[in-house]
Formats: sequence, structure tokens, C-alpha cells
Amino acid sequence: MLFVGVLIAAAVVPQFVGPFMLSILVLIVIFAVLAMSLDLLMGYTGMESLGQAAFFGIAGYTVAILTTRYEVGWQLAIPIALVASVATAAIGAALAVRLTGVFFLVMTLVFAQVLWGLAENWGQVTGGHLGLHGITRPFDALDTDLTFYYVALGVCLVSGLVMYRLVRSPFGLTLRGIKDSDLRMRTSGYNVWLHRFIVFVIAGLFAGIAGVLYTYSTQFISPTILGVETSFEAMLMVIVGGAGTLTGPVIGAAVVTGLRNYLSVYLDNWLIVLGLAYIVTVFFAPRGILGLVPRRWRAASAVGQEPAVADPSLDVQPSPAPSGSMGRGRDRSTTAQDGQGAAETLRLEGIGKTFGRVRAVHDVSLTAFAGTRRAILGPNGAGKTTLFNLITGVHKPSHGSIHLFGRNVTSVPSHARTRMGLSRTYQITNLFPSLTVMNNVRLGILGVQRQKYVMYLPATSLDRVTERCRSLLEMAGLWDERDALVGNLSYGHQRQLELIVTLASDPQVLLLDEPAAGLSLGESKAMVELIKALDPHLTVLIIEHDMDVAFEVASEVTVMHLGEILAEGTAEEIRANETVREVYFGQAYA
Amino acid sequence: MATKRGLLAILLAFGLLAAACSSDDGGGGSTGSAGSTGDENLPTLKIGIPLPFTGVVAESAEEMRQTFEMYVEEHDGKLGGLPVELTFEDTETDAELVVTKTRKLINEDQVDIISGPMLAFEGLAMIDSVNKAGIPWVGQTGVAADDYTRLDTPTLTSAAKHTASQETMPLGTYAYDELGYRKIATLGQDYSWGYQTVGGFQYAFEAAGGDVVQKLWSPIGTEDYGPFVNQIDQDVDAVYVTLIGADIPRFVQAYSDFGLKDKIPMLTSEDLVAQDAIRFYTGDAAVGLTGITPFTANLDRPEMQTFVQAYQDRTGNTPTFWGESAYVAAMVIDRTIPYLQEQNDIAVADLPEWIKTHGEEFADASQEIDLSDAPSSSITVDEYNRQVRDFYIVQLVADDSGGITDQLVTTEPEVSQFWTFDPTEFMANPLFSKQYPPVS
Amino acid sequence: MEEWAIRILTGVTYGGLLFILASGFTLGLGIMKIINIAHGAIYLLTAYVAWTVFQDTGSFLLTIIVCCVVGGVLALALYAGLLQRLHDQPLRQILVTMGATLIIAEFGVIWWGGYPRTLPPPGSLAGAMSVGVVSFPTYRLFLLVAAIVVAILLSLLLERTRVGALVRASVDDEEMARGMGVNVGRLYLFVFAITGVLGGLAGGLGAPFLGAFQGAQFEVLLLALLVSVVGGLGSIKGAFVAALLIGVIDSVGKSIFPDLAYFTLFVPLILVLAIRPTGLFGKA
Repeated sequence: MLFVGVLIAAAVVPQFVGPFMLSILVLIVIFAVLAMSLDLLMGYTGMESLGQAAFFGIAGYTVAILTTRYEVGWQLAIPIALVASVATAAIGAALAVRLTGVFFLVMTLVFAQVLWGLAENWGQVTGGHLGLHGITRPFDALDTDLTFYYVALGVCLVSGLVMYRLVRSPFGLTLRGIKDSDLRMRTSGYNVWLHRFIVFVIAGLFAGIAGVLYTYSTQFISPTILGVETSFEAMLMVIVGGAGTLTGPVIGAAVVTGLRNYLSVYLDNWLIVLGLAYIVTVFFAPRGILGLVPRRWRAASAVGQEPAVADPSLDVQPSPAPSGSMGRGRDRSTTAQDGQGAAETLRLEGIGKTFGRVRAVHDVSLTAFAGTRRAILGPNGAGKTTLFNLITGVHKPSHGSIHLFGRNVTSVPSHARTRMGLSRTYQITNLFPSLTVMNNVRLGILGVQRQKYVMYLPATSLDRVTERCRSLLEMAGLWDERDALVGNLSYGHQRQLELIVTLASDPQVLLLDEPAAGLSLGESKAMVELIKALDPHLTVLIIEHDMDVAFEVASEVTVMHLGEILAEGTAEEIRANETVREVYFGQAYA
Repeated sequence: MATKRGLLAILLAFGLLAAACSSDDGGGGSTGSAGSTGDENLPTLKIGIPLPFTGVVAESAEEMRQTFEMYVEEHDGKLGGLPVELTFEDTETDAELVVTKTRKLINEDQVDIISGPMLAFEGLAMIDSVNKAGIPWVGQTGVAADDYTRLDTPTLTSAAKHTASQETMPLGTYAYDELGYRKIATLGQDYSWGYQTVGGFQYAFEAAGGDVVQKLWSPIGTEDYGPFVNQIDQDVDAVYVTLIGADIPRFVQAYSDFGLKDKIPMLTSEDLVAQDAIRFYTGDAAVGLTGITPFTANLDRPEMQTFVQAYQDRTGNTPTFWGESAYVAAMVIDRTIPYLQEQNDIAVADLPEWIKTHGEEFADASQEIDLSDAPSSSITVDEYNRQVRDFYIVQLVADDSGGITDQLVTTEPEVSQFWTFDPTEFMANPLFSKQYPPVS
Repeated sequence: MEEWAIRILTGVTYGGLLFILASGFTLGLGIMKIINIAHGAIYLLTAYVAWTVFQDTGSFLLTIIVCCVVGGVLALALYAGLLQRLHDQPLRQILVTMGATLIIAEFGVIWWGGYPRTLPPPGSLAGAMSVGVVSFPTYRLFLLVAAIVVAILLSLLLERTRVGALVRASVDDEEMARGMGVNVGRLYLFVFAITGVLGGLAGGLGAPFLGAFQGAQFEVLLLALLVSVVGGLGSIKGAFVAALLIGVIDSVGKSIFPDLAYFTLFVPLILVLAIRPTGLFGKA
């Protein structure tokens, strides 16, 4: 395989090259670790950071300072340096992780800049502008560059393997989910902030490892290593190689480092070439060098296009795993009950949300019990989706309170609500397009499981999760598409999958936001069958424009208009209601 | 197919650019071979010189290459009687590359002598590699830091460059004795060169009886010098300044704009009165500056005028202290070799190998050779392999064509790194730093 | 008392320069959501141009005009050549403009060499004038005035003119705008050219203060980023207030905490990002 070939080359080639080339190879190996650490953030989690240089540099400086100023042995210096980079990463994460997009980018950039300023100006400790020199390597044997190379290569390999395991693990899967849809993850039970925090710190650790290697390699450190250019170059390495692949960044590191050190021997205005490299990469190889290599493994390109009708020969069974069987606790101190003694599951008291001057939802109260099937109807702009957003915690209500299973959850974050048993589908399909159908469902299941934090086992090895995936997918007739990339699925299949992923978190309260939106007649019927086959104890609130679907599924109806409840009652009562018809069809038809 | 097209495009782009760029004046890494024919019996001496040919100071680095090559050409392509092979490497003003390139020169190119660098941090980055190899290191401007006297660098001679504080101590004494100043405020760039030049000035000034009542430090690259100018204690007799790069014109302009130029005289290190600084002043904000420098092209010294003329003929520009340092480095090599050859009775064929393996002897030999005809001053070398030389106190005046030029005020002859102080006492003091000497 | 007056004035006038430096960048970011890393490189190039033109002609007015034109043309080239196809792709914009930065800066070296260049404040703006009891450099006051004028003009352009409204509409919903007959492509070109003009103006006005120097491409970018983030990405008003604030904190901070001189510029940024990451006037 390609990987083995490269490995052999990396081990053997250095024996035959000159000292200069060898020193470049060492640098490549070191920057490969840095680039991989950035790929964890960028390629897998979608966090574009310009601050990896900070943790690279902190570890490097710690080793340098401890070795030269305090004569600390490497046995202490290295661990302390790694602790330093982890601690710094934690601080950086605390500052940056709750930001997204451009803000995150800028914050990471500024963080690195501030550290640069520290290194440059705190001369007493860091040697200031001139840096620190005379950093001795841990063993005399390492003074031979070839030996050092092999040690560095070893560290790089181990780091790569660890990161490789990480991205294949359940935790790694959650990172990819976050990259695709942060919102979906939150409402699937994931504490997204925490996951980002953790991966940021892990990336910082690996950057620190690279930093330690670097300092021992050059035996010199100065503030430029913390500068803007280092962070940009790390990013270039990831992109040139191919983000989200781990091997891509290694190639990128080789290309960028090699060019930088080697080409500058022959070219005068080398920076022009580097500048062009940035531009050309973006336009001609946006997925990096790896992206140019034809992918030999593609998700099954033959994706089913037939109407999404569940196979009638399959038993449309309710979810085989009853709540609690996957080993998580659930807080459900119920208080009220409805007429038939069913427990109260959801209660809204005077909920409202105002955006600026727009009153999206105003004074809505509603109570639902186990087994309630209620449709939320209303013309566009009535506030229905906003209501769902309030219930799931995507928006914070301007007034009023929300109670789940008798507990006041108004300030409880989305993911916690999901873990309590609340789940929703989205009006505009919100899945993880770059992941397979199977992995989408996996993420749905793991959202309410502790195993989502497992980092050392492959996600595919969690057998019970896999089994549950299978039964859920078979229920919707999607098992045959399990390896297809969601982005390649037909719209109808995606809508079905949307429901399945939501069900995967084993909810007791289910919010369906226009599940039949955009579906053909056949597809709508299949959807209705699916919903009707759900556990009768589930509370289901369904927003729909398609009246047939709504009245098939729901026994109670709430009609909203301009953010308020217009009417409530059974399906027949609502159908007969004059005001409702006016609102829907206008005065002429009332 | 899109992918193949992409790959092709990348290759084309790089190829074209590589072609275009290498047709520019020979890249930073060009190996200049300045040996002349007819000397096939003589072994070649290989010299490696890392300089920052890319980056902010690229022009000065180029000057240093030119003057070094000029010396070699003036001597028939030989140094010390041996034809030389010069390998210049571009450090790109980047510490990592300094290390890589130095190692390349030593390990791959197998140079016999290493010379350079240009910048202070580059020197420090080279130490470990050079010490490991043990080859002679003829320092250029990059080894000015006072530190080298105390550092373990046995194969280094800094005959071609004075130390930082060495330069400013005479000015400190001059300020007290001749100019009659008693109270001074200082502004230094917040790093080693700033600390040591300010420190030297202060040490001498206070030893003479003066007081430095305020010490300000500005980070390299400070954009607005207004706040610094505003902070200057207006009660002082003068302000002493060490700044570098773009900070120089900014400060000088701000000093003038806020009206201090006519109120408080400014004394400076070489940086503000050097030829290249003068080039970037515009207007008259810099007129009146008094500074101390090892080099001025206007010096009425035959060796200087010959040097300046030769350089002007060669490149059309006026040389500065940067180029002179490289020139003197070549001179040092040129004169040390015959000295060693005689002292140790070495066969010509064995010379390069001997030199390569006797770095310490080479460095120490610089103390014995004759450097009295260096362009800017007669040079001798002390027991620490440091330069002893004359310094020139100059003042900037307006010249006839609306520009600025420097005018010699006085010469301080034969200044050593210890100035008028006892070497043992001086060495017992800590290195000049941000905290030392403290404010009065 | 006098001391404080000078400190504040120093800070506020520096803030004026900061605003001018940041204005092009903020405009591009706020209106078109384009992150133009090459903004600093535009400063670098136009500042060198300013030096050349002023040396040759002695006319500051002409210098400024030429700088604005050069900046505008450069921005047009960047947009038409690179950024046009990268709307809503911030990472690619950053990479591509980073590449452009390196190239532009390198041409700066090729054409002007590596040395810094400055202009003295031109004739009438040189020297000092009295502001109340204190004497203060005229050019700095001029910068403040210029900043105010630019801020007002920009706000007017965006809020009160048809062009401004069209631009804001197009950015909000390009399809709709096109559907309404707006030549969106030309509009974007126009706006981005303005960011370049502002960048050129910064180069011309900044040359007597900061100078033209290698390294400016990153330093000026950092300053622009600083001001934009503190003020709120895309808010002209925010950028103006932030610039003045940063200037004053820098000036006062350096006098009171000389040891922290490097960080005085970053204090407002750190505070803002910690407390209100969208900036003073930014929209969440």
C-alpha cells in the first residue's frame, strides 16, 4: 500500500542523502506533526485556526528556557513543555472556542500574536528578539543528525497513529459531525463546546510535541516561530496536502518545507513563488494534492432513486431498544398527568420570543403528555419553527418558561434537553452530508451516550450501536444505502433519514418540523406510515402544511397566527373553525 | 479531466516562475567561484557566508557580498595566497534557515572557514553549529553583541566588528567632558543592541559624573513615537537614542514635529547617523543629530577614499559600515593565512585542511596580523579577539543639494571594548541589559 | 494637566490614522464579507508610491490622488483576478490574498529595495500649531480631521445613497438583486475598488507618519484587523470609535505602563474578545 511505501522510503532514503537534505527531512517530519495537529482542527472539526504556532512555540520556548537558563534535564523539560502547551491551549480554547468562523480565526491569530509579543519583549526570560541558543539535545547520540532524524520520525509516526485512531473513534466521528452541522449536533445531545474544547487542547498537545522536536533540532529558538507566517504556513501545508485526511498535511509539510528550504538556495525572489503557491492551490487544487489523486474508495455511487417506500415485507417495528437500555440515566420527575393518567412530558407557559422589533412568538402555552399527537398549524410566519427552536433551546425565550418532564429547562442548553429525551427534525434537512448514512445514524445514537467520548477504539467497533443503526435503518428501508454519502442521497431519502437520525436518540418527546416538506405523494405516504408506527407513548408535535399528513398523524391541533395561538382543539373542531379558515384562505373563502 | 488539469497547472506555474526568477540576478545561494586560472597547483580555500539576502535588510546583505567579493578580486581572486571558492547562502532573515544553511555550509559544502553573519540573532543561531565543527569563524556585523566576549566561542574572531557598548562609551564621556551635559534621558530599542549601546553610553557618562535620569524602551516596530516623545523629561540636557530600521525616521520625525528638535539635542548610536540611515531621512528633521560611528564615507583617510571609490565604481552606490565589515573580514582571512603558514611551517597543499581543523589558532592569530590599513580605521585585536579601533563623532548637517550629510566633529582613537575602564572590573559587571545600569 | 491634554491628543490623532488604515479593510469585510489580507500590502505599495511621487513632484495633493488611483486599481485587479469567484468562502479568500500579499510585497523589494522610506509632513502641514495651551504637530491634527471626513463620507455613501442601498441589498440577497435588474457584478467591483482607494489613501496619508517599509504588509494588516474586530466587523462607526479608543489607550498606556509597551495596543482587543466578541458596534 501507498502508506507502507512511503514509510519504507522515509526510513531508508535518509541514509543516502547529504547533510543538507537530511536537515530538511528532519524539518519536514517535525512540521508534519504540526500540520496534522492543525488538520484535526481544520479538516475534521471545521475549526480554522491561525494559532497553532502559539502552542508550537510555547513548548519550544519552555524547553529552551528550562534547558539554557535553569539547566533542567530533558526528563523534566519535555513533560513541562508539553504541559505548558496543553495549558496554553486550554486558555486559548476558553477564549476562542465559543467563537466561530471569522471571529474564531481572528481570535486564534491574535492569541498567537500576543504570545509572539511576549516572546519578543520579555527579554529576561525569553531572550527577546535574539532568542535563545545553545539548547543541548537530550542524548549525545542525538547529536548525530541521522539518529535524530530517526527519533523524530518515530515521534511523528506515533503521533500520526494516535491521531489516526482518534479520528476513527466515536469522538472523532463527533468532530466530523460538528464540522458538518454544529446545530444538528447540539440538538442531538452533544455538548459541542466541550468537544471543540477537547480537540483544541489535543491539537495543542501535538503542536507542542512538534515544538519540542523543533527546538532540539535547531538548538535555537527565536520569536519568529510564533509569528503570523508560521501559522499561515501550517495552514498552507494542510490545504496543499488535503485537509481532513491526516496524510495530506504530511505531504503538504513536505512540499512547503522542502520548497522553502531548498528552493531558496536557487531562487532570489522566492516569496513570489510562495505567494503563487497559495493562489494556485486555492484555484487548481482546492482539495489539496490528495484531492487530485483519484479516490479509489468512493461511497457507493449507485444511490437509490426509487420512491422512498419502505419495504412492506419488512416489519415496521417500533424502536427495539426501549429507553434506558443503552445505559444512560434520565431525569424525569413527572408531576402532572392527563385524563388517562399519562404523564406530562412537555409544558410551555407563556412562551415568547422577540427579535429586535419582531414578535415572533408571544404568550404561547401548551401542555403535552405521553402519547400526545398534536399538530401545529398556521400560515408562514406564524412562529411555528421559532416555537420549536424555543423548545429545543436553540433560542432563549424572551419570556415564559419551558418544562420537560416536570423540570424547568428554560435555561438548560440544547444538548442537555436532548439527553433528557427531547428531539427534533428540521424543516430544511439538517444532516451530515459528508458522512455516510450509517455514520449519520451512529451520531444520532451516540448523542445520548457516554461512549461518544471514547477516543481509542474505532467507532465501528461499538457493536450495540451498530445493531441499533441497523434496526433503525431497516425500519425506513434505508439499510441498503448505509454506505452512501448523505450528500448523494435523493431528497426523499434524506427526509426519511432526517427522521431516523432524530429517532436514534431515543426521544420521548419528538418535534417534527414539516417532515413531508417537498415529498411526493408516495414518499409522503411512506413518511406517514413511519410516524404512525412510532411508539404510542411518544409525545409528538408536528408542524405541517400538508393537511392530509397532519390530520393523519395528529389527534389534536394547535393553530398559530402571528406568533400567538389562534385556536386549539381536535382535528374536526379546527376544520370547522371559521377564524382558522379566514386566516388560511382569506376573507373571500371564509 | 479536472484533476489532471489541476496538476498540470500547478507544475506549469511553478516551472514558469522558477524560470523567470532564476533569470534575475543570481540567487542568494549562488556559488561564486572567484579563483583565477593558472593556479592548479594551489588548493582551493572554501569559505561559506550566510547572509539575509531576502527580507528587510536584503540591500545591506548584498552590499556585504559585493565588498567581500571586491576584496577577493582586488587580490587576484585569492585570499592568503590561495584561490577561494565563496558560497553565499540566503538565511532569509529567518532563524531556522540560519541554522539549516550554516549546517549545510559546514556539513555539505565542507567549507574551511565560515564568515558572517549580518544580524545579531543570526550570530547566536550559528554558535552551536560552528562550535561543533570547530572551524574558524570570522565574524562580520552580526557578532557585535557584547556577549561574545563572555560566550564560549573559541573559533570566533570579531576583528571585523566592534562591540555594542564599545561604540557608545566614548560618546558618553564626550557628552560630559566636551558637551557639558549633566542630565540625560535615553531611548533604546527594546532588545540586546539597544540595551548594550544605551548601557555603554550610560556607564561612561555616569562614570564621568553625569546622571541618566530616565530610560525609555520602545518595542521594535513601534508605530507611533508620539507617546515616547511626550514622555521625555523636558528638563534634561540631551537625549541619547538607539533605534533601528523604520523606527529611526519615525522617531526623528516625531521628535521634530513635537518641537523637541530645537529644544533638546539628540545624541545617537551609529544607527541614526550611518550612511543608510541618512538615505532615508527626508526633510530637515535629522539635521543637528550628533552620533558616534565607526564608519563615514566622508572620512578624510586615504584608505577610506580608495574603498569608497572602488565600491562606487563597482556598484554605483556609497558603501556603509555593513560592507566595510565584510571587506575587513576578507582582509582578516587574507592576512591570517600567511601568518599561520609561517608560524606553523605548513605546506601550501595542506593549508585549507589545517585551517579547517585549527579554528582556535586561526581566531587567535587575528591578534597578530596587521590591519592598520582597514578603510575606516587602523584596527588591532585584543586578547578576546575583539576589535580595537577609532570611532568618529559626527554631526548631521544639511548639504548643498538639499539633502543631509555627516560632518566629522572629532575622532576617538584606539577605543577598545573596555574604553577607559579596567578590563577585570568591567568583566565583573553584568552585561548591559534593560535593568543594568539602573536609572540614577 | 497639559501633559494629559497632549497624551489624549496624541492618542486621538493616532486613532485617526488607525481609522484611515482600517477603513478599506472594514468596508470590504462589512459590506462584501471579504477578508482582504492584502490590505496591508496595498498600504505598502502605495506608501512607496507616495514617496516616489512626492520626491518627484513635491505636490502632496497629487501624491494622494495617485495613491488612491493605484490603490483602487490594485484592488480591482485583486477582485477581478482572485476574489470574484470566492464569495462566502472566507478561508480561500484569506489564502489567496495572503499569496497576493507576498507577491506585492516582493515587488516592493524589487522596485524600491528593502530600505524604509518616509516623507516629511508636506509644507503647510508641517510643524506644530497651538491647540488651546498646548503646541501640537499639525500633521497629526490633519490626520484626525481626515479621518473624520472619511468616516462621514463613508457613512453617507452606505446609508444615504442609492448605491449604498443597492450594495447592502445585493449582499443580503444577491439573487433578488439580480432579479431586480441590479448589475451586481459591477456593483461589487465598484465597492471593492473603493476599499482599494481607501487603502491607497492610507498609504499616502500614512507615509509621512509610518513610512513605507518592508513589514508594513503585516503590521498595517494587524492594525486594521485590530480596529475592525474591536469596532465590530463591518461597522464604519464602530471602526471609528474603536480606532480612537485604541489610539488613546495606546498613548496613555505607554506613559503609565512603559514595560507593557507592546501590549497597550492589544488590551482593547483582548477585552472586547473576552467580553463582547462581536465588537463594540457589531451585530451578533
